[in-house]
Amino acid sequence: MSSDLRHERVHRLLSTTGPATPPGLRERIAAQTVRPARRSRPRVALAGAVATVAAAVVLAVALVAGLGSHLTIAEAARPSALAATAPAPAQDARRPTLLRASFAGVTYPDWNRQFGWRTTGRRHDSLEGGRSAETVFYQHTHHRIGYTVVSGRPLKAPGHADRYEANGLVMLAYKDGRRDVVTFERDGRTCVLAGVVHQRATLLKLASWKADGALTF
Amino acid sequence: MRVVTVEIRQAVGRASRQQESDRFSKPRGRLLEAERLPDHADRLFRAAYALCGSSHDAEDLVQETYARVLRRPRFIRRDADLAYLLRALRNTWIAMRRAKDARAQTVELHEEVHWVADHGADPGTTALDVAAAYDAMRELSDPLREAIVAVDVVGLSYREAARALRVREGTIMSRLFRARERVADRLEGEAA
Repeated sequence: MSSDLRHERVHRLLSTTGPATPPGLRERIAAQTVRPARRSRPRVALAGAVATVAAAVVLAVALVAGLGSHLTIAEAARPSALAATAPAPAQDARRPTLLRASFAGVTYPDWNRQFGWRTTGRRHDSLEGGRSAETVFYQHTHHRIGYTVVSGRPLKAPGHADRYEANGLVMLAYKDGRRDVVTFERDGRTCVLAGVVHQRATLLKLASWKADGALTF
Repeated sequence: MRVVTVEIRQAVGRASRQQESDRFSKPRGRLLEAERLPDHADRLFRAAYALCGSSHDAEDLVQETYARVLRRPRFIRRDADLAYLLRALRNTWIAMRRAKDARAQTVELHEEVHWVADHGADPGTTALDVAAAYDAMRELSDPLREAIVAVDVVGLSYREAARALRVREGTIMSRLFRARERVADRLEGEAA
């Protein structure tokens, strides 16, 4: 018998026959599969996963719906490329992970101590549809980014964006020329982080930072 | 719209830029679906039996493997579920064997094994043939046995087997060739 035929016989024999699975083993395995969901930690993990999915769905629906606004994320990201018109907000002495600046109920984070991004200024813009936006500028070495908060209901999501999730925050990101744009929602407001950085991950990291619990998403 | 799910640590500032970029820009895989895992119990039990050579040990091994895998949610990158389970089974087998070696020697009792044939099995196959094949596998060295278990018993492709056993595809092929040769020799010897 040729080698191929011998091997084929072995393969067929081993792939189609074997010891019978002991009675009850499959049931015990199935029971193991169910049990972790009843324990506290997996339940928390499951609840977290469900909450994350729910948050993602809510954000996606809210962003995709557009809610009647014609203002786009690209337009909301534009102020971050402009010059500051007001002095930089200072650190909040009582909550050092935050700045003494907020807009539409959203407080800006202080990234200086944790990441070395210091504030350099701020500006206020009136946008289409009677909306307004407040931008705080941050700088690290020669990189400058703007953190824009848009008033009103969430804006429509850009269709070509990549979707990320970190620390429970769903973020959409895309490239606009040399600039990276990351948009997300905080306290029902559209936030846009934009600037020229080495890695998009930098913006994602900053956006999803929870400021030692001071920021909630 | 592409979907990428990532998680980051608070202290990401310490990680290198490349690592950070990788964590954000590459998909991390998918969550192992626990509900589907019991479907692989039969294949896994056969693999366990081929590795252990004892029905009781194989049962323990399969249960322990599932217990370990199900202990927490598992993200798998590229593997199929079965390939992931085989790797977990092999790792568990190695750990259990080490622990067993450290304990006092036990006497193996003769046990009666029930052999089953799936749909598509050669009608001329007898229980003696199957028993001889499994006996032959038991006499193989670990690397050869693992290769034949992964491909012939569990049904993985060469690539999946190579990933599961963390060796090259060519290594799987050469080990499989030698393993099949020896099993075939044994089968022919039984028939003669």
